[in-house]
Amino acid sequence: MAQNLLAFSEDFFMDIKSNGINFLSGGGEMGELMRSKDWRQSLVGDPVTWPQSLRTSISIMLNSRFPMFLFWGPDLVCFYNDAYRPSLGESGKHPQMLGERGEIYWVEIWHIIKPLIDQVLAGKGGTWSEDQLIPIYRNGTLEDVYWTFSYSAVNDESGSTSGVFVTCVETTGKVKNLQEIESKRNSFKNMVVQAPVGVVILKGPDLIVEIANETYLTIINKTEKEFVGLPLFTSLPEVKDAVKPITDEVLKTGIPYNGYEFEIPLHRFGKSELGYFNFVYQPMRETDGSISGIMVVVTEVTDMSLAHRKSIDTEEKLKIILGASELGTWEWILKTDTVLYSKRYLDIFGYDDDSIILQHEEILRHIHPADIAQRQESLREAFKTGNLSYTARIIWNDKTIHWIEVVGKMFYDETNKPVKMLGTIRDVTAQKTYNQRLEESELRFRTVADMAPVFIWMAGTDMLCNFFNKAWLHFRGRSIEAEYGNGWAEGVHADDLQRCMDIYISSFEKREAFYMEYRLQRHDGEFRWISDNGVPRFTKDGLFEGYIGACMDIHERIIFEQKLKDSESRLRIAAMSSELGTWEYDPATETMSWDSASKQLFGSAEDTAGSLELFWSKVHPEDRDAIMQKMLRALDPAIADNYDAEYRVQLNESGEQRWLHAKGKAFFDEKNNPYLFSGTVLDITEKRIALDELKANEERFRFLANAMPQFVWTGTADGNLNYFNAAVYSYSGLTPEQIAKDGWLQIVHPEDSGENIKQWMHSIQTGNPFLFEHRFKRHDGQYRWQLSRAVPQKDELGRIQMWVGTSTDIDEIKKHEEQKNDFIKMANHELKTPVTTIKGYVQLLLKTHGNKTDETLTNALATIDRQVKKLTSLVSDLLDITKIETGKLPLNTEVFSLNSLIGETIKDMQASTQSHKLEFKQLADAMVFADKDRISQVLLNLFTNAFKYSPKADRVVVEVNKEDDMIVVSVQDFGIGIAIEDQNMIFDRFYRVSGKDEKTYPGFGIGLFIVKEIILRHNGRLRVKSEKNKGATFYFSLPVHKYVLSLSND
Amino acid sequence: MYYHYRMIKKGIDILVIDDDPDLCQLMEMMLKVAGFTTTGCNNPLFIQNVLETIEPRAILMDMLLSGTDGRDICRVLKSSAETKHKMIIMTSAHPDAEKTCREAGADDFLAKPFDMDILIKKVTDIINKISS
Repeated sequence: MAQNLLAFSEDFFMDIKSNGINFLSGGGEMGELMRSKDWRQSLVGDPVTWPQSLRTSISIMLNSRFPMFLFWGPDLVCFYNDAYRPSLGESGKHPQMLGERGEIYWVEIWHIIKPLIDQVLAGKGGTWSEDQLIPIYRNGTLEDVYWTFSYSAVNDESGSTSGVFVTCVETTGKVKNLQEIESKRNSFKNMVVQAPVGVVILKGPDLIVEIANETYLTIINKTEKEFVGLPLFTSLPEVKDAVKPITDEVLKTGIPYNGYEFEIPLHRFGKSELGYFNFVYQPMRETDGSISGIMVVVTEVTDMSLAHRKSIDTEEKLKIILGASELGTWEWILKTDTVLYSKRYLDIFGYDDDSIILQHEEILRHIHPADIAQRQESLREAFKTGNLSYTARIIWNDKTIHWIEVVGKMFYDETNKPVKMLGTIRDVTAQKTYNQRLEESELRFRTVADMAPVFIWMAGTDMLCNFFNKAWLHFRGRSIEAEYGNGWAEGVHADDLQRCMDIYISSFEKREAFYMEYRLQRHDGEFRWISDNGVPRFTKDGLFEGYIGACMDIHERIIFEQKLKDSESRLRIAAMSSELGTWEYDPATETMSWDSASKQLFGSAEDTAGSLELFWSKVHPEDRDAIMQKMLRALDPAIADNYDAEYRVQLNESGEQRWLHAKGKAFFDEKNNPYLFSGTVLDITEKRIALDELKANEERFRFLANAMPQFVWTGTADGNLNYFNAAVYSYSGLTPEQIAKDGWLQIVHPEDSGENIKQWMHSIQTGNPFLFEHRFKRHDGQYRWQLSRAVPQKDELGRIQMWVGTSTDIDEIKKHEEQKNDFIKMANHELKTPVTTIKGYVQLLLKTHGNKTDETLTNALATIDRQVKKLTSLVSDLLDITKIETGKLPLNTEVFSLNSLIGETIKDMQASTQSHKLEFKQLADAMVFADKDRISQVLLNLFTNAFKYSPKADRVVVEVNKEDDMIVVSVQDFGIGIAIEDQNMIFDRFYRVSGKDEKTYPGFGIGLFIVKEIILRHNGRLRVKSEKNKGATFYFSLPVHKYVLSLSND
Repeated sequence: MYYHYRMIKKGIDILVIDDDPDLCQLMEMMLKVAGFTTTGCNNPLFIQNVLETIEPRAILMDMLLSGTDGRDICRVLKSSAETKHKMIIMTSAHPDAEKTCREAGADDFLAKPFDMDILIKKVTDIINKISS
């Protein structure tokens, strides 16, 4: 392959001409560029002298359609091909870069690529990078460009690396696409977060808050941390009564719920209040259609709503007042389309006779035909906004035309449906005619304008002002000539001018009315705030004539508003809690003032004025620096941090201390100077004491834990262990750093760690206590068995907060246990051998002599046989225990009929014991998938117990019933029974009920233990029902075999 | 001489191998009652010698033979061309012994302590199998 490449490249070298490289043909623009360059002056010298490897590399590169780049020689000289060109952009590098040092032209990324080049040059192999961000300078700017590229070595004839070959593909497009997808994914969340209405997304039946946006959090006055991730009614218990029925309904029915002016009690801003909200509860569905949550969109209408309610209250009052005035009143009942009106109303419509009753359509007949459309439009508007306002002409019965002005307001019922409209009517004929005349007379206007207490100006179609009234000129103290044109603009405050001109010009172009506020210089040099209302003027026939504007001095108002705003923010902070102290610091005068609550908190007398010196003298010396730092940050306009500090104050000489928590904010004027620094202060002594106590408790706990020989450890809710007591470190010989770095699993025996992780994760997921035996590596390398237990600590909602675990060294116990098990195994075997022989001989003798008439011999042999059987089963039971304990009890499962097994077992039992009659009631039967011998063993154990503990009775009842998918067997005796307090324990290993009578019964106390284990292994259940001296009934159940069940039902 | 000796090996039904002489004798007696011919061996070291003088149709062998593992013997017998056709029933009082005995090549297994009827039945089944 290399041979071929070389031969191929030779084609491009032809005869050597003046610049030594004309031999190279092809290669497009870059080929051209290379041929035209005078290489003899370059760093790589005359191409005649170029080594073959360089020539080969260049020819491959120039003829490749893949973007390629070559760094050559000790100077890392740059070569590249046409395909690479676009990556260099329109300007910046190309074509100067060709043949020059890479370091100069790749200066912006040299720190990234130089190490790659060095790696290749050092012979450490090529590199491969995918979608790497390498910003490069191109198109006149530093662009973020993503590359997939490889660096590989070019070896010269001597075999050493003298160049680095770069092949690359720009993947900016691909990466940008991916990023765009990612950003779209976030956009929904952003949309929600930034929405101007409150949005909260509730998930699951517990309504866990998944997202709540700023607006929502503001409404409920909570931080994201207090609210998101918790069930809704946990953080807002007060809304539960009002909201729960709605959310239940939405989750149940999936029908969105709309609420209008819904009354909800809220605890916010430090008090309980009623809020009014419009909202939509929208069910959120999964792809399968199930409802997984609710999206709530809410706007607060408390202010509006309160006003609305008030207006209804005063409705009656209003009617009385209006009745006495010039206004006519009317009431339009929408449902019946009837209009009720006052006496004055009739007057306005030209009726003298009070007793006349007008229907709605009769009233409408009076409306001037030319104004009907306009009235309709106003009504439509009123149904939307709730407010009606229009003027129109009416024609009286005597054909005279009159102007009326109608104002109305819509009223709604509790479902927010409009029910009626209430309004007034006024005869404005006189005004209308006056206004009309006014429009007609320019002169009349000017006179009026001049007399008006407002400043009036007019401008022509050329935007230049051509009229100012006397009030304006008087205010400005200038002649009308000086103000003409754009002269007035000289009086506008420099900071406001541009803004005003923008509004003026853009409104002018659109022929729109405008409103603006700006500072205008008065004759005495003072800038005063004025408002300016500009409207376009049109002639009667609609021709644009210019503008007319009216201005008012609103300076006092603006200043007042400014002050109000400041004081409002102060008030707001203060209102948060009545227990709060408030304070103010004036940076200009460096004075500090406290309200009485603050004075009390700082332990200074009511009549002492607060001062900065006093403040610092009260603050604990150790806390002063921190406070100072925080204050400086709050007062620095570039930082403007919210001030938030906790510190100690010394109340008196005796050194009594108090912890205070201060919060505040600096306010800056337009020059960015702080003019006010104010805030609140709160006594948090109790909280701090509680915290200190907590800390002390923790200390105590740690001390205790460290003093224990057992290992004590804690873990987070997600299972990461974050604390180990000293015993862990001294046992393992590891430092806390080592355990933190490589994890605690490093001390667990490798054979145990897999199961360990599995069990631990299971506990983490289910919240079940963790109980596990595993080996830990001691500092000397020895593994010792440990029993670890961990229980979750839960909060009041049952959520796991942390895990607390202990590990106890059970190595000795474990060894003893193993020895015991080994011993039992051996004993079992050793006991069985003689038993086998005895049993064998008895059977042999029974076979050979048992049918003889020697009854004594036959009976003796039968008895020995029975006793040997008993001994055998005792030996087997002991072995079963060890098997159960080591989890090695094998089950040889098969499908069989439970009833026939019971029948056989009863037969076996009765063959050896006739003291009791076993009565079998087969109320059901089923096939089970179980170990026949083990179930038989269970039955025999239960029968034996029943017989044993009912010596005075002569029967035992066995019953089979079916309960759902389980088959239940009960064994009932009529004996001494079991006291309630013992019933829990009788299934424990070696447990025997103590008592005078019970002691007389023989037994190891292992029968029921084995019964329980066998039944549990079969996924069955075991229970007992008994009373002292009233007999006992043992029940065990087994799952019915499913396959056979379905067959038998056919 | 050697070949001649081999030629006159005695043919019997069952070779009983158990390190407990009492048990060995008991099993022989039970089998004899049932009509089988038997030979007993309670020292595993002599098994080879015994097999050179007699020709049993089946072998009844304990698993743990005081110093020798019956399963090893079973494996050896089952891997030799001469003896691999011999039916072997292994016995043990050891829990979980059946599985390993069968893995060693045993044709059947008898758990101790056993019922005489079961012993007779198992041996009869094996002998019948050989005959058929």
